[in-house]
Amino acid sequence: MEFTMKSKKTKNRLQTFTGYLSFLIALIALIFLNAGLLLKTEQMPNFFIIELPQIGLMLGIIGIFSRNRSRLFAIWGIALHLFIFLFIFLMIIFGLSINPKP
Amino acid sequence: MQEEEKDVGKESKYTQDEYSHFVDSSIKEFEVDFFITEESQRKIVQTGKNQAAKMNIMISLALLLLIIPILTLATYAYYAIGGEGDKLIEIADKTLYITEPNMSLEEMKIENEFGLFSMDIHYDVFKRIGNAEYKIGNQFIHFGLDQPNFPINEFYLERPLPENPYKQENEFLSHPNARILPGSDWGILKGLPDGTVSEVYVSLSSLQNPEKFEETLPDYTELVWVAVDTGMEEKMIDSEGKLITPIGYPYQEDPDNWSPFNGDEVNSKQFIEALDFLEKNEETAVKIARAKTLCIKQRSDYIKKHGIKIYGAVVTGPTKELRLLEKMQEVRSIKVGEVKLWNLR
Repeated sequence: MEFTMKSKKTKNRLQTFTGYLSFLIALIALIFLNAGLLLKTEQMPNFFIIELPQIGLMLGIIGIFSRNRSRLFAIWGIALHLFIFLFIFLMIIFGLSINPKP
Repeated sequence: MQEEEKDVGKESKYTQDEYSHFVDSSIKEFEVDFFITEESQRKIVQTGKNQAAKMNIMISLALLLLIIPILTLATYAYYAIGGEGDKLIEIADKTLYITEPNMSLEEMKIENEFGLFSMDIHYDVFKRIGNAEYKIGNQFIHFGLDQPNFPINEFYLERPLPENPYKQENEFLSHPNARILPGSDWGILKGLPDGTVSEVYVSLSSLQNPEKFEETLPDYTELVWVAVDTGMEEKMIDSEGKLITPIGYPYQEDPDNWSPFNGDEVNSKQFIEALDFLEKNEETAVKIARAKTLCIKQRSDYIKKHGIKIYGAVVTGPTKELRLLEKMQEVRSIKVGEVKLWNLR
């Protein structure tokens, strides 16, 4: 019987950088979405509510495949970006169905 | 069993001292390799705390930022699913045509905006005077879910109807059997120059068929709106004593396909259909209409039983031609509405 010190692989609880970035981008996009809704303006730049969430979604997907890191932020990032896309899609559908004009 | 005993025998080749030595050296090795200073420990705890705080802040922020989009989405869903928004717009549209003499709107230009669980609609309102449609103002209605506030009307009229009807004398149309007859405006009509076109509210001396009445009108004049007898116009009050206002329909076909009085069917039929629709949504229609009571069911039943007979009408055309109305036996009195410069070609 031999005694050997096996270094136990502990799971690193630090967040993935891409996941963190994805979550941060989702928050920025949500801030602009809220501002657009509160100001009732149609001048909101598409970059913040369409292009930025696309980048964020990709970063979130990369983040979720990272090993040995917590994927919580990546999951939150992906969920928020998907919500933003779902929101835009449903708003277009609902907007077109109320008081439709040819 | 014998084999197991042999194995145990093999493992026991180390002495007690050797074991102790090995354990001590392992403990020392562990202490050297995994030694964490107090400073490092504090740092690790601090990092953990920071991580947890950052996570809490970000998740809380995300949840807060989701509130308005979710409520907005719920508002749109409420008005879109089941056509609630369109129904409210249709009520406002039909109420205006039926309760406001000679007023129309462009259905394609109705604007709507959404707040949280509310919808605002606004549109321009037109009157036909002479041969042209004039924008006479706009109407704004706020709906909290499906409940409308009183509409905000901005009408720029020379001779508007009272916004809150409280006296029968103030109304422009009266029933042949009505005791109270609003004063007649023949003097005003005579004083207007010939180069003008006018809108005239005509009260008839007997109930008439609209087609027959139109045939008796002077040349170049147009019957634009007819006030239909519903059995309540003699007294002009409902069972609770509240003043009612005339209801009727635009007599001419509206070329706009989206109008409730377009050319698909005769206007009288579309009027009854509109009444049936408003009957189901009377509470909303009453809030939007000038009168604080409409009694649509009672009046609709009367019209279906007795047919469409008119007791009043709005006629427009050259002022000179409208003066001829005075000689018509069918006409009991008139009220002059809006007057514009000549616009007939």
